[in-house]
Amino acid sequence: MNRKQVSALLVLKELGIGHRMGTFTDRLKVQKSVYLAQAAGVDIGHHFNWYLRGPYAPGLTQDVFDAIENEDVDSILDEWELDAASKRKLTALKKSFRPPKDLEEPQWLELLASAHFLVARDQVAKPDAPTLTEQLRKYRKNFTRSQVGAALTKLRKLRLIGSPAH
Amino acid sequence: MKTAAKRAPAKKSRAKKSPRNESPTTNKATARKTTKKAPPSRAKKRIGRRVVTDAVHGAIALTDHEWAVVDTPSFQRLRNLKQLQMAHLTYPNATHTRLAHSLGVFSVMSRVLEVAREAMGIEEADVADLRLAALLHDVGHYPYSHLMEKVDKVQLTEELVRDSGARKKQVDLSAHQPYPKHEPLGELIVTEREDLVRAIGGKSRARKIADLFTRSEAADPQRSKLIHSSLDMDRFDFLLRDAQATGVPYGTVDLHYLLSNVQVSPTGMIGFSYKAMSAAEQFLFARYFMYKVVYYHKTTFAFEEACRQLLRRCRDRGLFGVPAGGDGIRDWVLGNSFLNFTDAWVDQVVRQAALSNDPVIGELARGIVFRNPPKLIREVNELKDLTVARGASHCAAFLKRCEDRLSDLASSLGVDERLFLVAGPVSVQLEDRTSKLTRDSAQELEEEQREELVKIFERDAEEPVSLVDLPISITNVAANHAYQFARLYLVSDDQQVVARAREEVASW
Repeated sequence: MNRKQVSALLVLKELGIGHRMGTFTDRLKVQKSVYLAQAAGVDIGHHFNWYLRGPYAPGLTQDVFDAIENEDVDSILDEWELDAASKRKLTALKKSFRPPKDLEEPQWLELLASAHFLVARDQVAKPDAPTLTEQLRKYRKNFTRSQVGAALTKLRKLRLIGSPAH
Repeated sequence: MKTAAKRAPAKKSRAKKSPRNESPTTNKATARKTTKKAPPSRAKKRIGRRVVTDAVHGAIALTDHEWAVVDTPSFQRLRNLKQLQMAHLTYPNATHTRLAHSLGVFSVMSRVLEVAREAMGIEEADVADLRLAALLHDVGHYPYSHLMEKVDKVQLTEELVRDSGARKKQVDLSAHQPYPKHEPLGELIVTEREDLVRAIGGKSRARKIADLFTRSEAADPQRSKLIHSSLDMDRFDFLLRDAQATGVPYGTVDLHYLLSNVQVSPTGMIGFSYKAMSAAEQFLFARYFMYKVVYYHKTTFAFEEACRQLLRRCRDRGLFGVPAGGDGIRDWVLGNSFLNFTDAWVDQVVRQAALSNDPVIGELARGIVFRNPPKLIREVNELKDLTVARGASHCAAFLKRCEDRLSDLASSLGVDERLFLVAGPVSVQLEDRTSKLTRDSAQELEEEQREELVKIFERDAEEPVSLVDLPISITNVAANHAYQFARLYLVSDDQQVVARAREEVASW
């Protein structure tokens, strides 16, 4: 297993996501949580494109698949650990993964990651809840304005995006 | 016919003008004054004003604006990056550059847009952006391309071998942030380097172009995917170009026939007509064999792995100016010395390292400088059936034995274990494996990735289907398999040591 794969597995472990890839939901959680980890400064070198469900890195899916197919992942994870600074960042990020009452965790992660991608890349006219909600709707993501507002607040609290004034 | 019309003036131009292939259209105004009745429609129809003659695609016409982009120092850097990394150490003629490939992809994109623009609903105004995105799609490549980019994928032997009881090994992402992939680096170059921003026409347009080639444009992902979609212009060019440069016969693609059979569905999906199915299949097989034979050639692969491990070791120790992490790479890309970030820079690192007293760094470097490749101790390969869930993989089992036994083997041979290079498992497939995954689970997340698969319009069908899903196609069966290999090399000149190592490892 190469270092990039080890890094991905360690990040997923720290975030409490794990490395199950059997279902669509598993893979969505892996994708969005690693995207958010990279946005939070724990960069493991994946490049995310925009897909139907938001940011997506095909190489990440491949890496995790290859790792679990060819290796005893648990014993690898026992041998390796992340540096303390990265762990701290991930611990802070993990708290934001708890979804609002009206959303499941995978959808919440999808919303957080998609909102960050669009705002950070200046692909939304105004980084506020009404504008972003409308834009997400165009991309077939039917989140409510309050859910989008909660995501923006969370991203700002984590300092992953700037304040509305900027 | 159009191509022929464009070529004619280009030939005249070469006869008359400078070696930069400037076409006489540069002096169009003068020409008009002296010609009484120049057909007015002819000038309007011309797409290009500058013509580059390319060994693969013939005449490639560029507008003055595109030519200005090509002429920037940031783009010209690509002239100093070899397309095929270290393949020239195996195939002496494989010295073609990223610049030639970029122009080739631009050429294919231009032809696809001529054929499919209207059907895809692409506005005339967006054509220029797509052409520029194709031209710039590789502008972020590292020296020796993927070689340096994949420095973080290296498995150093001392990290690989089992060492129970020792304290945990650490991934220090704070000290060694991974090197970014070439796409985000290209985005940084296009949106931040002044020469390109100016030539493209400002920051906002530069951002738009970058979003296209990094596939980050959320508003219209379909457009964004043109470069890498099922109509894979990137691959069309590199297969043809690499096959020509290496001299192997496998990379041949019937590009003209494929492009003349492009169709677009009402929902904007691109594919080939049914009668082009064989040409499409041949394209997939060409890619498969090029990977198997050329890109993963055992000697080329050995040199590249040695160089990658060398760079990784230099990076970890801060030697010879190799950037410590992603931030260092980004700083470099934005700084004054970016234009020196070429193959020659890596060559210089290797030459300096060859003088090193470090037993591993010095050995790795000298092997590259004197073209003395690491010796293949064993290759384990297999054709894996992807329809069978997690099974015993020979490659995985071999790699596990390497982990468990390499330290002891190194001791018994009296060599430094770090001179063993372990690589793999590496897979080669007709199509991306996630296609198989999607076919089984039909999930939305991977559904868009399926758009990147080669597609065929069955007779009278409005929407195309993936070639791998067509029962009549041989790829329907072949795509369920992957050729996989794992390799163990030893950096050593001692024939006896190499022979003993081969003997020992034969049973692993």
